[in-house]
Amino acid sequence: MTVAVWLPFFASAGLALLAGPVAARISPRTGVWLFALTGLACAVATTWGLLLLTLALVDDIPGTYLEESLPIADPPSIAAAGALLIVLVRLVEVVVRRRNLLAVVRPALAGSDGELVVISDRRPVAFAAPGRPGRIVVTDSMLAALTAAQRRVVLAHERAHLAGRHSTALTVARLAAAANPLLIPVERAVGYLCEREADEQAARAVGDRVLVAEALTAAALLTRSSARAARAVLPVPAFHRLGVVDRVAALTGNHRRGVPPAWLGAVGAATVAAAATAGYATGALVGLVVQVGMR
Amino acid sequence: MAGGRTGRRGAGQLESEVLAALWAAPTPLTPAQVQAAVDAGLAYNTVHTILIRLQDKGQVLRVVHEGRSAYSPATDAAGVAAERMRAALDAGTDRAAILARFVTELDPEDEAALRAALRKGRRS
Repeated sequence: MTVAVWLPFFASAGLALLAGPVAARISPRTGVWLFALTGLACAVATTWGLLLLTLALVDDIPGTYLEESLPIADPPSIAAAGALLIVLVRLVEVVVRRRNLLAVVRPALAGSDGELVVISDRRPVAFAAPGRPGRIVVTDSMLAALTAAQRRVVLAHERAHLAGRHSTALTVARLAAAANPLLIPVERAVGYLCEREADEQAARAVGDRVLVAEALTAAALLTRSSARAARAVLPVPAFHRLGVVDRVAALTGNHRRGVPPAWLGAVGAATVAAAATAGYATGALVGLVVQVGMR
Repeated sequence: MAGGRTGRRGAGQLESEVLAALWAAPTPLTPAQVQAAVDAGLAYNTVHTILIRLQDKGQVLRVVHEGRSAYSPATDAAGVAAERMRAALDAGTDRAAILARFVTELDPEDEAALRAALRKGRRS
């Protein structure tokens, strides 16, 4: 049981290593959900593993036979209990933050009867606010800086986020990374692939990949100069490998295509290993309890 | 090409494009100017219908600009929403996870790489 409990952690680390290279090559539509769901599976497996390790503390309760039956020492179990507590706090934090933000965004959008909501703000911003129906929010400074064709790209891009339920995929990935920080690269991969998929949908809508790349570049450079003007001293994330530059490269054809089957096999193997070992560990514990109960 | 694709765009999508064009313009636009700003392939009547629908929804205002009938975005309607939305934008750094942003901030090296990639794209 001990090995089975730890295996999902190794599987998560494996998945994290594969996330970047696979995300750079995989078809974005497939990749978004592949990583959201494999990340979720690994997070569930590791969290379940922590729970099982914590439950092993039960053997300390006097009068139970579990004490002799479970070969797990106490220190790992105590550590697992602490980790489990941290995981729960982190998960609640993600849920509460999402709820708080939507609580601000939704009423702000409720009064508007249309797909597009424009707000007057000097920050060039465009985003898709999930909901029923979802809304596209763009600032006037963003619209004013783009050409008509580029504006159509932005609208098509945000529309694709809403239609593809990317907010759900991102939240799943974010929860997985909160439960298991080893999966943070997986969350980043999902974020990148959502953008890539929206770029591809936009390219299909306007019928011109280079136009999408130009719109992206224009918006990106705008965001940059505005940040400079506002003297926003934001810490630049160190982990920066998959970004706008890669998206532009993918659109302009300067892109590696196709994932080696072995890599996909490894992603599948990591997920299956995580899920199977979590299942095995559960079975082992249940079996033990039943065995003890029958004595 | 743009004209040929127009038929496949829904009414809601065209409304968004017209609204975006009005917001982007520094002055009110006549229907003909909207037509030019959005997509020259769009029928004038279609543009007119969209403008009237947006006016009914209170999203655009009909004004007289330089002696002609023109349209401008209803900025008042956006005022309250904008105020709340600005608060949401200020709220935290993890907004990106919930509100998928069009682009994120750039590094200086990224800027050079972007321009290079774009040059390559235009050539091919």
